[in-house]
Amino acid sequence: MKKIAFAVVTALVAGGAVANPDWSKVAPVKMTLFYPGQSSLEWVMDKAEHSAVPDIVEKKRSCAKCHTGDANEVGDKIVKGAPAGNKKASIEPKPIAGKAGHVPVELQTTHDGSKIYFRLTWNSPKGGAPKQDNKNDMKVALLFDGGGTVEGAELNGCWATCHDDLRSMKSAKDDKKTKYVKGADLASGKFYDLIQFKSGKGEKPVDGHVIDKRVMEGGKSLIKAEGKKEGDKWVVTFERELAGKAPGDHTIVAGKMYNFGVAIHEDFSNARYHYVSLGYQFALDEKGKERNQISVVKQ
Amino acid sequence: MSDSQNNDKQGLIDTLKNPPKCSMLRMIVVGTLGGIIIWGALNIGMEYTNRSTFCMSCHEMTIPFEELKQTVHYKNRSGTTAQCADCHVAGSKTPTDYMFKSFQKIMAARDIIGHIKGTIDTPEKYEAHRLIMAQRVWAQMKERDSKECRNCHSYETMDPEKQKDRSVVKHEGAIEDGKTCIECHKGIAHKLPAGVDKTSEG
Repeated sequence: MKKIAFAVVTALVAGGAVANPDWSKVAPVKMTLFYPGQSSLEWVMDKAEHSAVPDIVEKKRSCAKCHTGDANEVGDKIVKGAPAGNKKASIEPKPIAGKAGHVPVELQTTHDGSKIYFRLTWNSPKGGAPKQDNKNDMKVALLFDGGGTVEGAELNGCWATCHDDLRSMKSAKDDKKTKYVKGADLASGKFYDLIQFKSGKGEKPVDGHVIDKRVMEGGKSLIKAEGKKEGDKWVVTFERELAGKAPGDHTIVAGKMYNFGVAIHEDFSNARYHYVSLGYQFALDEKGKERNQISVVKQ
Repeated sequence: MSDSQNNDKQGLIDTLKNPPKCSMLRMIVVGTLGGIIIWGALNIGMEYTNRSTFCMSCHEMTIPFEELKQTVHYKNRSGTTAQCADCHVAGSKTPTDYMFKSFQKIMAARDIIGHIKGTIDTPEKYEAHRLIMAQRVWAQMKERDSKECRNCHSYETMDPEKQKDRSVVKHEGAIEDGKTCIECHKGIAHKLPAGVDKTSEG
């Protein structure tokens, strides 16, 4: 009886989870997160500002296709309030002196059949701006859809949530309006799942979602999120069930390409004052042709 | 040998009508040498009038030349330079190109008329005509599949490692769509006329 019990427990443990993935075996993906200013989806899709609109609409070019190489320059230009876009207007009305325009980040991701792990590493850029979020020096979040469930996300990552009428954006009218998906529908999967780590003392990780607004709770799939800063270097890991445990949680299965983006709020910032990634995609054990398609290799 | 002019003229015409006997070999040699000299002279004339300083001898042309000097086509790290004739009397790499080049050179006589009339002889007049002049050149370049550009540049010899991602993507798209250089790359040597979008068909 004891032998059987022991065997069952071992089987459960072995089949269940790798407690801590061996990160040295996981190839990192180098991303450049950049400061986006007020570049809402509406701005990006305005041909008068962004001459690439026909490429996006007709040729289905993703943001990453053109901008992976120059995201750093784009961010550096925007953060200073320099003219961006064809209308040669600034898209940062209140440039923060000395704020970095971009942050190089390394992302590693792996799974073990029942859980998916994300690990992000980066060096915090210099800060010193007036505080917007008193509690959290740093927040890092991932937004991902249900595998092509949000229109346009396969090109723009999480930009489908960023609109001109959000708080702090150009046409803001309601200073409490948070990001949303147009035509969002929880039941049909037309939403983004959201997982976030906050650096503030006592702050709990967030598992939420973005529908017609940002909901910072309700998710049950996130098991844990941990972060550690050594000097300037942050290392943050997320551990999440592959299965979706609640409405607002996507289930991650093989055979689907999940559209996602990463955002990091540094220096006690809030709202749009974050560094964001271009649109990326992940799939379980499947390498896509494009360089922004990441294979989550099983350990 | 008469001294009167009439007789000389008559003599010349007669000589032409009834040339003295000349061996085939001599004719070929003289003809070839003469041809080389004439051809050489034409070429020298072509190249002489292709020099930027020649273009600049009409002061109106200093306006676009000063604009060119601000661009990478004129001055850059490697020192390669493209000047007036390189684009406006575009080079010849094929026989038909040479015919076109010669034709353009002859048509350039219009510029002399314009110079005499003073059509663009002040900065204000130049600006007023900028759009029409630009459209004329763009139409010509488009018709020739941007031969002016392709004399030096080609998709095959572009190094994608050295280009920005968005340039690589745009050029791939241009090849796919059969677009020609001038459709996107307007305003690279001289100022864009006011109100013209770089990629517009205008």
